Amino acid sequence: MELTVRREDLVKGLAKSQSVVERRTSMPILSNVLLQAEGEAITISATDLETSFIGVYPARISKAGRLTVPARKLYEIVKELPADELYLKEKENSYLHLSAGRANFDLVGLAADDFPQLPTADDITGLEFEAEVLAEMIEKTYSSISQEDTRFNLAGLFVEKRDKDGVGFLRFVSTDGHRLSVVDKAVPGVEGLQLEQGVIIPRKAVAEIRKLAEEGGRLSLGLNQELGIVRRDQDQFILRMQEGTFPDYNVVIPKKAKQTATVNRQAFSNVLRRVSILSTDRFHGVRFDFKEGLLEVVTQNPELGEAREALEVAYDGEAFSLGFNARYFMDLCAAMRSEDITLSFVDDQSPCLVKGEGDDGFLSVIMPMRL
Amino acid sequence: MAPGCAGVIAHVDMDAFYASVEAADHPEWAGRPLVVGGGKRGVVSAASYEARAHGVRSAMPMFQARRLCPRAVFVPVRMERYRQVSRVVMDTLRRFSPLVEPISVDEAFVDLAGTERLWGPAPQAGRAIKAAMAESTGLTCSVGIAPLRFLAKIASERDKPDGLTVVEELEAFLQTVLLKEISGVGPRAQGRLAELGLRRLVDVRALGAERLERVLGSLGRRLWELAHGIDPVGVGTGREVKSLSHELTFSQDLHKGRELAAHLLALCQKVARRLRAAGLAGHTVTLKLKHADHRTVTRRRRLKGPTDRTETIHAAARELLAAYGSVGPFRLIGVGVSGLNSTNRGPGELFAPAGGFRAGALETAEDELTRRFGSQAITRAGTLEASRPGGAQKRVTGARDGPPRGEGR
Repeated sequence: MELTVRREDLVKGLAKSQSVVERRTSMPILSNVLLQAEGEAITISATDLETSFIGVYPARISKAGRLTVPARKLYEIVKELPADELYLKEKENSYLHLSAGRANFDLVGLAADDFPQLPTADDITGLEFEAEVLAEMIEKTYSSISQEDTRFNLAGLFVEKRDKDGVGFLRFVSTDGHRLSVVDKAVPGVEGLQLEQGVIIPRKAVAEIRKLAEEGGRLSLGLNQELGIVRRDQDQFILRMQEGTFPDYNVVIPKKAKQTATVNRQAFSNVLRRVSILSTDRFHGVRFDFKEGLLEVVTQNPELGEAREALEVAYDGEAFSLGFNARYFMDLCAAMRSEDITLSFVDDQSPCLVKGEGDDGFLSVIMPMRL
Repeated sequence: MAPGCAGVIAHVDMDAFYASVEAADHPEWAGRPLVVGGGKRGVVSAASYEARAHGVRSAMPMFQARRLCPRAVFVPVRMERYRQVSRVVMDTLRRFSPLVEPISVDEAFVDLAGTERLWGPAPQAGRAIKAAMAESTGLTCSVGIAPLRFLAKIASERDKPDGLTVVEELEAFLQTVLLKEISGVGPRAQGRLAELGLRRLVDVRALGAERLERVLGSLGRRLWELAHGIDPVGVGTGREVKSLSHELTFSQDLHKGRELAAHLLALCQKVARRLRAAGLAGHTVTLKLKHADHRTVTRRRRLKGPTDRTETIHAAARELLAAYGSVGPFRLIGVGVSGLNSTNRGPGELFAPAGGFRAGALETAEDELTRRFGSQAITRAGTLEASRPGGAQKRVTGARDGPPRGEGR
């Protein structure tokens, strides 16, 4: 293998490889990236056996070949090299020689044959997206994905194809057992998605898709029951789906509310941020006191003291109180776009439903907590 | 607490509490031996010192007490009244220090550190506590004051009733402590220690912590520490309940079978109700059985997660009972749950655990009915076998630590 490549391209591909490779150490070769030179391109691959990255970048190939080298070290070196063009050459015993200007590196690698075969996802039909649409869908669901890996069936984003009045749409659902977020988007061509049942995309893979989507432009998302593939320009991620059954989330979405309150999203978020400064436990407990036209957010902490702040709300029911994890509402306010959001309640032990006019197709459900 | 560090902990133990309360409430019985106990076949809950002089002891069957001391006054347990007096006792102690840890209705630890300017040196403070107690309740108590918690308890035992023992010289007092005086050293541990030729606490110093730990487990390490004047346990405010249990002494000894099973279910239901009422859930279920010959065994099982559900507790207790090799006869059965955590905090669960949703709704309804109409309002069909009249005697415990414990001695 012998080639020259633009440093900028190599940095991009290696940067995306880092989060894929970095966690596991049980198989040393999984800390490496696979470099493949063929035709007029260099392909960079990284995998943790669940999520795989493949990036293809233009290169002038003098000699085709394959080699693996430590992903982290290669990235550090390439970032520092003082040139726009880099020269890479495979040497004996799986060494990789890199040079730029007067800087020379010889990096210990491992034979490419030991690198695991990546799943092929070429036959999966992709759905074309505006990247920012996908980014928004993930933003609205990401924070409620469970952080607990023991609840593995919740530790991912549930994706399913739905149909309403003959119009297909894509649905993302996430829950950590205490809150739930659902976002629907009518995406042209969704009917072509090879998805009979919903699938769970693992949290880590969702984070990679999110980063890719936030780069803008257009991308494609393909899914079947086992694999997912996300492509944007020359980059693609191949994801293995999380096993497990996602819970029947429809049953926990409140169907009829006894009381509703509408509040300015930004003002609400600011009040929560301030008041929760004094709720330091891991539950971030705050109390909502609703009175006619007024919502008072209160936290009482025996060690630190007390904070309360009122804000105006459109509410005309009886006075009532209930407790919540402030964090959940702050996450929600950050992900939503509506000027005003509407909270619907049944009682102080039933889930609260949150929606907003500016967030079409989105809803969130939050369980109260006893304080 | 480091050795020699001048902590000041008082252990206050009311003298023959139930019996003394009865005596104070009934001046007409003055001077007569007094035995408090329950039912036809119940056991002695407390005996006045006059009755003890005749050989009557706590936990002794009532008929035996009647034989030993026929002229005694025999009165039934009035738990409600003792709790009432207990509140006065604890309130009295709280006048001396904000750090009062009630151990049961009739004893408590009081942290006197830093109160010297108010109450003077330890002996003076001890006398003040006894005087205040006599004034507020008309009862006597025995007080032990020591730099370490476990020594305070031993000290209060040394001079009973109406005594005051202050440990001034730590080492000198340690030399006098017998292993059997230490709470947590039961007959079994005493046996093991005796085999090793150990009788006094200071004897264990020669053995080394590792060896003691091998022989006696965590108790071994604790004994080694105590022998060196290290007792890391101070006085807690006692808010935190570490275990919750119910037990029942039968009117007649029972073998394994339907009636025993029904009692077991009823106990599980009570424990679960109290857990839920207290907003607690625990992950370890303990079954206690006392054979007709008073041999007591406990068996415990750790669950996958904390629970406050009757069904879950009952399933574990039933399996423990089935797995226990003997079919009886038993005179007592008890169920406890430990490893408690608060269920009150944290956001609620959107998804009930699989299969648990209906049970949750059922128990919520059960709790509501119980709250409004009392504990007899609703019951499980499986417990009916147990509700026959027969004067079984039950005991309720909410101990801060350790196994269920009795009152008086």
